[in-house]
Amino acid sequence: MIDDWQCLETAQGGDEKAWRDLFARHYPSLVKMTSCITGSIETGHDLAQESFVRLLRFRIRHHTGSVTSLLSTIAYRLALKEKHRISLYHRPDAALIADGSPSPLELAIRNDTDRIIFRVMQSLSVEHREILTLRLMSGHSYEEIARITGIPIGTVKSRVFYAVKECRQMLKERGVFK
Amino acid sequence: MTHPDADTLLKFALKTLDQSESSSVAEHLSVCEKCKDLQQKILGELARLEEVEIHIDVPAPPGLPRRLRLPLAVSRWAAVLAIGFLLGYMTAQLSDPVRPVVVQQRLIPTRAEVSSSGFVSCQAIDVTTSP
Repeated sequence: MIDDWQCLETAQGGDEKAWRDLFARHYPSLVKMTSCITGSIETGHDLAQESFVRLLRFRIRHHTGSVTSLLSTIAYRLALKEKHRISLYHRPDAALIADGSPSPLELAIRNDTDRIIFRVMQSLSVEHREILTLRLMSGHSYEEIARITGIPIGTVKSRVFYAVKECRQMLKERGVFK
Repeated sequence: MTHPDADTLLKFALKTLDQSESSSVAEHLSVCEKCKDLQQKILGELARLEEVEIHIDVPAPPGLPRRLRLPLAVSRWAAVLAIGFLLGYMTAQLSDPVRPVVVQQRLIPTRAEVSSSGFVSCQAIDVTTSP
């Protein structure tokens, strides 16, 4: 399998196949991340697409880090901007979650236990939810999360710890964990 | 034997302990079955959190912009040549300023126009122009 950076350079040179391969490799996890951060799967798709468009225009000077990390950085910043824009005009779908109806994002989760775990994660504070999404959903290392978010690595580790601790507690209360 | 508390075991599983603490816990786990079982339980729960599946339909990727279909090297050379041509043209204009045009005139007297006082009326004709 061709390396991500080579794939990106080839795609920037106009190669459609390299572009499709890169897209297929990274799109699903990127949508998961942006959907979880914004709370909307539709917005998640839009932001993921926009992230790929920006990736195409990215001037590659050196292969520092991974293409995954670069994409996540672009997507994360777009997600934060979008969240801010949405909050200025209307409330997030907390109301949907509060009355028990599944949101469109939850409907994309087919397993019942997965849905309970997801709801618990979404009920965390914004900072904890975002860090946990980057760590558990997107699989980024602590160093990558620190670079993506601009948060010191010590704070990243601390937030992951408290987020996971809280999740485990809530899931024990709901009978998912013993 | 001091058993690490639940928070320490969780931090160990999350790999957020510093190196010396981490080594100390690892050493304890190698000899304590009870803590080792607790650690396995924590790891199992972490793995479960990571397994949450969100079904994502993958659409077709955005199309490559037309300009990107030209090899980038060609686009860059085209840009360099265009800039070079423009600079060359501007330099040529600056080093070759417009000189004033000199017009030489010949004065041709006409006999019929000689006045009584002797002044002669002349017709001026532009003979040459030169830059």
